[in-house]
Amino acid sequence: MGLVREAERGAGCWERAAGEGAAVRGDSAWARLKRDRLALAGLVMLSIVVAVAVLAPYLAPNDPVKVDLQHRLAPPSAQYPLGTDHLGRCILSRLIYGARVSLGTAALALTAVLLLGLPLGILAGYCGGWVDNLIMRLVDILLAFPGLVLALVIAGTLGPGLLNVMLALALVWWVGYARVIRGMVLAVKEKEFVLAARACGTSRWGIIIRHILPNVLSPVIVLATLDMGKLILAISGLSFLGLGAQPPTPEWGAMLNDGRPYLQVAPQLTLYPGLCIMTVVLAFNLLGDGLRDALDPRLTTRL
Amino acid sequence: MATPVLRVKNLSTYFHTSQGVVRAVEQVSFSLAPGKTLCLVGESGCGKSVTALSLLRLVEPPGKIVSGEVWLNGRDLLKLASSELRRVRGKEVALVFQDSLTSLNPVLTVGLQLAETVVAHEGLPWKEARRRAAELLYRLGLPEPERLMRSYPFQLSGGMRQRVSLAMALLLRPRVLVADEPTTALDVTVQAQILAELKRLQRELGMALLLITHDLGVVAAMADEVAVMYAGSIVECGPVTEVFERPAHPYTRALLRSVPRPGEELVPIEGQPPSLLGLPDDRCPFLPRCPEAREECRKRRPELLKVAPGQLVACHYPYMARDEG
Repeated sequence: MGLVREAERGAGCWERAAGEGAAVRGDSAWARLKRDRLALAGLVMLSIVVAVAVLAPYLAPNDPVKVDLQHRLAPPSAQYPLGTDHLGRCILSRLIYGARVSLGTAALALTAVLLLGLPLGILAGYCGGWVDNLIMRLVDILLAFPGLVLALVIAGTLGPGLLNVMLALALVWWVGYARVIRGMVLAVKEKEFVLAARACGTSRWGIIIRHILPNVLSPVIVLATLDMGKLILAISGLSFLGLGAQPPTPEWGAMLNDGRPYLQVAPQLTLYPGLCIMTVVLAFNLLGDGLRDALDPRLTTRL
Repeated sequence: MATPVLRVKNLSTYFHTSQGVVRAVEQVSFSLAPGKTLCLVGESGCGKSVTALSLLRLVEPPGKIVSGEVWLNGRDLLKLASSELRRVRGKEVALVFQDSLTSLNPVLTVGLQLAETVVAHEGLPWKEARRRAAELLYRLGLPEPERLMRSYPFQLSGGMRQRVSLAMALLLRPRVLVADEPTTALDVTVQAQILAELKRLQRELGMALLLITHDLGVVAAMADEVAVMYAGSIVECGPVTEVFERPAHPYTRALLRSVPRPGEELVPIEGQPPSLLGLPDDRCPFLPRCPEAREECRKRRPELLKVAPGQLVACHYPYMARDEG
């Protein structure tokens, strides 16, 4: 199956090359991604969730934090399409606003992770020597702890709150990136085009930014997409434990925690946020897998 | 002879490995006049490429330039500060590599890579830099340069890519071009075209060319002078006509005999080039393969001495001297 698909891809490139002459753009990553139905499904799901998060004020039927004690644990109705929670808050509205919080915090945490991991990984790989040693030993130390437990300790020390959770996660999460990126930089910097760039008088930073960074970027994109799902899970997990989002902030993990005592009488309180988390994580994983195939350097460099 | 634009004196580059010191380049000296071509020939692993990289101080650890001088325009490149050296690289001395597929960045378009050098060195706006790159590509015989510049290296044929590499080196009109086996990866027709273009541009720009090759046919077509390297040192050098017609070193003679000629028997050189690791320096490095080896060759390493006007040979018993004496 795989072989047949590869052969088809190859044939596709060939026809195009023959049609447009020698200097053509090969099969683009986007074209390959479009052919991957699962990845496309993930992309569509994520687009919907992002749209919902962005348009939350217009989509939510109720104020997500408004308490209505007269309608506690109410079944679905016209006013509350998915019913209410133990404080009579609209579950649907909370889920819609929760998308903002969950996706937003995960994206911010990921940005922080990249801001730490990319430069440190590149520095370690490119400079080598004691710089490499220092960074990598730090990475080793951090990797010796279970990540989530360490994040728990950091977040616990900093005190509860979404910002602290993001910070804690970023502080333990960057190590994986630094390690992977360092490895790739080590491989790329030995390539002849780096030597050629140096022979042209390109500066150290020019080489790092223009020659090394673009060559390590596509695996990082794949890694980041897959990690978005993991980060959402981690943030939800920490919120579930009471460290992340504080009441009344609507956050999926915190909603799970809120609904836990009512699991038997009102399972919808945990069911809906759980489904949301699962769907989004699944979507990120599908897209990440698709991107990995689409951005595979072996496919992009084939003629 | 005109004042040389590039003068290399006693250049030595060693690699300090865990097994010992590898003397990749040992006491290499040569000079290059403007507009002239010097060919550096020798077998694989004799130090040709390391010599080229050493000129621009591009040798990576564990390699190290241990001694020597590289004079360009009255400045010793081996003593320049790294920021000054960066301005020399590409602008005054440019390098072309053997395999253009690996020497071009696979993820950047050709145009970006070409323009980058111009922008970095001359501070031109990108648009201007691209225009200049397109012009040069056209002069190098590449049709539709605009379209070419939008493509990625892997989309081009080997010949086109090598022309792009050449264009990259020539963009800043360097005074010296160092080409490390620029046509080895190509088939002979493309090789001939590229060499012809190289020669034409060399004339137009008045550029000196240091051509590294193991192809004696290329040497005959291109060189004014030739330097034969063996085991990290130059064993014979001089004007190409002299060296080819009256080779004085047994290695040069053997090398010339190993070129296929119609109607003549091909004579391979017996044995292997010596390992540069722990090469003894109290005897001639060619000794184990030399058909003429004598007692003196085991006792002392021969120095590069003049045997004819402009022709230097590192051999205790060079042919010419013996024939005449």
